[in-house]
Amino acid sequence: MNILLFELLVILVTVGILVYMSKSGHKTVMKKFGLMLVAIFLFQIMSEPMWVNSKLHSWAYLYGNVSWVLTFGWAIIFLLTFLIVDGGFKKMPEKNKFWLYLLVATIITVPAESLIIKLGIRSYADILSQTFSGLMIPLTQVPIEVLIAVPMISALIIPFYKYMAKEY
Amino acid sequence: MIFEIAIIVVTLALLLFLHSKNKDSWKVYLITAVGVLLFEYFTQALWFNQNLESWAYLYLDISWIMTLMWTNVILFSIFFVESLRPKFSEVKKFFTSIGIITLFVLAIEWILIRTNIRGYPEVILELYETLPRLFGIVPLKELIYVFAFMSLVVAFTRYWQSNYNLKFDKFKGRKK
Repeated sequence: MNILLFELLVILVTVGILVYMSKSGHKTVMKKFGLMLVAIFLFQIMSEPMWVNSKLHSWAYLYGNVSWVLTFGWAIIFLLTFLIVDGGFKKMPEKNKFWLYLLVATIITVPAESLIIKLGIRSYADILSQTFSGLMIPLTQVPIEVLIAVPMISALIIPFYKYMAKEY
Repeated sequence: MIFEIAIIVVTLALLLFLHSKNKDSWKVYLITAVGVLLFEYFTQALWFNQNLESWAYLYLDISWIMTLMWTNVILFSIFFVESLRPKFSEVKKFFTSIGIITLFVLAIEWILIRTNIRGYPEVILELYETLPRLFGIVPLKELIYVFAFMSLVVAFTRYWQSNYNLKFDKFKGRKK
C-alpha cells in the first residue's frame, strides 16, 4: 500500500464513520468528533518525543512530528470502539463498559500499528525503544509493550472525551 | 529524605483536611492518584526522577512520592475552585482548576530541577531549548505540556467521580 493511499484511506474511513453515526441517530456527531480530536491531540502533544511519524506527505503534518492524518486514525479507533461497545452492551453501566473500551481499542490498534510500522510511517524514538524488551506481538512487528501502552493511552483519552462530551 | 517526608506529611494533612470537609475526598484522591500514575508510567521515558531515597520508587524511576505530590496539587486546586466558585459551570471549573494547577506545577518543576530531583534526557532538553519562552523564562512547550497532562488527568478524575457518583462539590462549613 503506498503512503498516499494510506492517507486517503484514513480520511475516507473517518468521513464514512461520521456519516454512519449521523445517519444512525447519533446526536452532535461533529462536536463529538471535535472533542475526540482534542483528546487525542492533547495526548500527542505530550508524547510527541516518544515516536517518529515519517514518510507521510507534508500536508499530513500539523507541526513537527504530529500528523493530523494519524490523529484521524486514532479517532477512527476510538469511535469504532464506542460504536462496538455501546452498540453491543447498551445496558451495561459506564464504569464496566470502560474496561471493554480498553480491550476493544487495543484489539483494533494492534493491526493498525502493525500496518503503519510496516509502511515505515511509524518508528519509535531511542528514548522509548531503549525501554523495550525486544519481544514482538506474534505475527506483527509491533513491540509487545504496545499491549500495555494502548490501554494506558485509552484510559486517559476516553475519560477526557466522555467527560467533555457530557459537560460541554 | 526531607523532601520525601515533607510530601508524605503534606499528603496526610491534605487528606485529613479534605476528609473533614467531604467524606468522599479520599476516594477522589485515590482516583486522581491512579490517573497521575497512569500518566507517569506512560511518559517515564521523557524524564527522570533522581536522588530520592530508594523506598520512594515504585518501578524504574517512577516515584510514588512524586505521584502523591502531583495528586496533592491537583486535588487542592480542584477543592480551591469548588470552594471559591461553586456556581461556576463544570467547564469553567475545569479550566480554572487547570490554570491554577499549571501555576503550581511550573513553580514546583522549577524547584525540582534546581534541587536535581528532576532531570530530562538530552533529546528533550534540546527540544525545549529550540522553542520560544514566555516572558523569556517559561519554555512554551512546558506550559502546553502541563496543560495537556493536567487536562487529561483532571478529566480522568471527573469521569470516575461521575461513574461512582462521588460528590466533591459539597463541603462542610462552606457558607451558603
